[in-house]
Amino acid sequence: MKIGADIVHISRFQNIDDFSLKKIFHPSELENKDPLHLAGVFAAKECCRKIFPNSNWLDFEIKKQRNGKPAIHTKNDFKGDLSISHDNEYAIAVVIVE
Amino acid sequence: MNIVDLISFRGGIAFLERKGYRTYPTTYKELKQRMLKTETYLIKNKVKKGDRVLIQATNCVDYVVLMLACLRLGVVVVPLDFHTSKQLRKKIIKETEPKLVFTNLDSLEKLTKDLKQNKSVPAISKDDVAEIIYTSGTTGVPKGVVLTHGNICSNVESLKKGFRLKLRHISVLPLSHMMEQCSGLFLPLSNNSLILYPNSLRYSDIIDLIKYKKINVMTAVPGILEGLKKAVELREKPLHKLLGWQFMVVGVGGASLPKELEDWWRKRVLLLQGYGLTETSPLITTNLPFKKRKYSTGKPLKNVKIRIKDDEIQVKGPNVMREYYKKPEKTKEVFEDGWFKTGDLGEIKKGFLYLRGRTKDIIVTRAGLNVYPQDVEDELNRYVKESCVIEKNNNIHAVLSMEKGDPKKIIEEVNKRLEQYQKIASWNVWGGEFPKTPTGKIKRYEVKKKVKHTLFKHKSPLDTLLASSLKTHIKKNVPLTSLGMDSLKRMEILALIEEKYGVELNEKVLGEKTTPKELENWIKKRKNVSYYDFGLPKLNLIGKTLASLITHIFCRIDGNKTAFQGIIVANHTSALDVHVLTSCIKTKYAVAAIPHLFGMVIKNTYYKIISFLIKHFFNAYPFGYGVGFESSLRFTAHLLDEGFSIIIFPEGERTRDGKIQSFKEGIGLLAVNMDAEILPVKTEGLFRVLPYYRRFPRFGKVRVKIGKPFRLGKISYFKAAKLIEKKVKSL
Repeated sequence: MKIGADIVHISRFQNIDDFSLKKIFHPSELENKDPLHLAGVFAAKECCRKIFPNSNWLDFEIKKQRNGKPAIHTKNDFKGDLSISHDNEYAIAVVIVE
Repeated sequence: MNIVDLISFRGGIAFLERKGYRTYPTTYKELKQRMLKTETYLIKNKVKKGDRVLIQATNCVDYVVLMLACLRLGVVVVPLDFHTSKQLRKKIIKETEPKLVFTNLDSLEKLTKDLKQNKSVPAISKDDVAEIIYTSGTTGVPKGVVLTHGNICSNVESLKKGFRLKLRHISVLPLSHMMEQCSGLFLPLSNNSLILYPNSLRYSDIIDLIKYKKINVMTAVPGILEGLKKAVELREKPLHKLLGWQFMVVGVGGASLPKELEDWWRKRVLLLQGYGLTETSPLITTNLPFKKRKYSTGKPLKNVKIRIKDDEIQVKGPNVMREYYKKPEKTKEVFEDGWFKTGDLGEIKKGFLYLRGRTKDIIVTRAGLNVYPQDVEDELNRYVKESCVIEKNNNIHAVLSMEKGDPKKIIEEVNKRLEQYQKIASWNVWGGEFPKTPTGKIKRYEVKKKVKHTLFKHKSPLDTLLASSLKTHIKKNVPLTSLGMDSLKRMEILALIEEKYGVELNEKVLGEKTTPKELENWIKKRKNVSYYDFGLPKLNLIGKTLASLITHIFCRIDGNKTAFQGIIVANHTSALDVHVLTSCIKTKYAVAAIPHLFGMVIKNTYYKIISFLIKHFFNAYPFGYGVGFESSLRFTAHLLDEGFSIIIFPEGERTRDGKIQSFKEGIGLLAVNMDAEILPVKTEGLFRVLPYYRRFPRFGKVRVKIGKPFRLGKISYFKAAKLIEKKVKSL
């Protein structure tokens, strides 16, 4: 079992340019450009990258399930769990992979 | 007299609008129809002559449609800059009481689509109000400049005398800016010219758009010209190689143009400097192609008179505004015996105006917006002893004189209260007292001079770029991670390098231990990998005939013939794939191929020959990481805009065993971003005719199975790749 955690300042996504965003997020993740949402997704992706050091940002897609809980989608089958939380200025995410 | 009457609505394409990577045209005919339908929409919403309509949006065709419809009906347009805060918008709404407020124009086309075209318009005289344009003022409360149809017409008509050519313009300033409206919208429309609206002001985008869309003219403020000059210099290529020879006229105004910058541009293009204010709708003087002087802002427009009184430039003429909206006191202040006082200093020599500095210390941002240092200083002075706000690298820089407190927190706090365009980008603390005039005013110029010499002074442009991003001093051999680079900053730095140098680097280049010096070497290495020398693929008839002949001699092709334009995705079995596909699919095509086939990464004779062959026999162009994904996407979009179909083999290489291999993710990236139809195609039998390991073909039967074209929504790139792979395999 492997674990990854990440914390990020939400304000860093306020004035970020589109070009950087496109390199990190899939179009589906950019449908909502609210800094709060982006920060959460970014933290989740950073967790995944900590677990899989040779991976790229675009190897993971963070998507909400029907019940509102975010989940990780990858090219191949992925067995793991993700949790994202926000408070005031920060977003935090934790990922566990079996 | 209505401004819209200046437009004849004849002549082909009026606008090119960039959305995502693609560019979409709107003809003059469509523009007129949409304008007439929007008029009906306005009438239905009980908007009539004299009412106000507020528009806050980025430049787009919908903006122009709405604005023209309003103007034709005599409705007063109140254009607001896109970044205006909600609070300020509220204030302006309270003052102007608009009937309709548009902050999002996405649905305008849908709303007006099924409406009838309006047929009757009220009579408009030259004294009817056309627009109320808000300019920032030192008091923090902006003033609404009231401009009539006559004001704006006089300006456009005099400009038209100097420029009558039908040209292609690029719009880089906001439409809420009078300079953009006059020389970037009404003038080109009255000449039946074409206007391109980009969706980003990144220099790499602008450079490619100017070249690809064959743009001739740009109207800009000095800030943009400075940035573009730097971008051209860092690419180490001549301007005309980057932008094309057709790019020849640059109009500049809005702020004083440094002599050095003027000289640089004058050597390369026809640079025409003008001078004016929003209050003078906007031009007062301008240089014309055959009437120009170095370092001058030109001669007054027709019927415009200027005089110098106590060094100050004063104006009288049909272009001068009527008043500041609901501010008679302010209006009185700026008029003297019927002359409008500009507040700028200048002198006239042989009829040409030369600016000599400004009485107001305005900072003009890259977007052409005016920032009054006083406004920002007032906010800062609540927290610090004294402050001085200056311009640095086209950004707002604050110099603080303070005894206690955390400057970083103060800046954050103050930025929350400032308008978007006023926000402080960088700051430093001043030791001791500011240099002052005998009357106690801070000597801004001296502060500016000293700050420029001490702050982040780096010799190499890369170090300056890194310093501005990481907000620290850069040392050549210290790893960037030690200087504060984290994973998000890494992406931002890569984005900056792409914009400034036109070089795309892999994220892995910026590793844990990468130093600025190593990064510089990477940039040098990758500099020559680009599309600059790569024109549109042209079908070489001899090459094509020869290749088709070989294909038809050896293959008995069985497949339905179809016509298609979009992205053709097929499995890659043989070198004859392209010609087999194009014998069934009727289209003008280009083949996306891996970049190192073009000798872009490794340059030697072998690759030169291969490159020549695949370029001419297969009509191929490089696509993928080797040349940079961003520029690959831009070039592909350009090909699709030009009516080409893109043929791509997402397996990356020919099959070795006849089976279809898994598709690379690049196809997902291409398919999702191009907004084009995708045609899945599968070929069978070619592996027998000419497999990977054979040099000469055998005779054989080939089947081409063509699927149904489809489009992709906003899905992840790997899902898109999988979906396309499934579609091809299932044929």
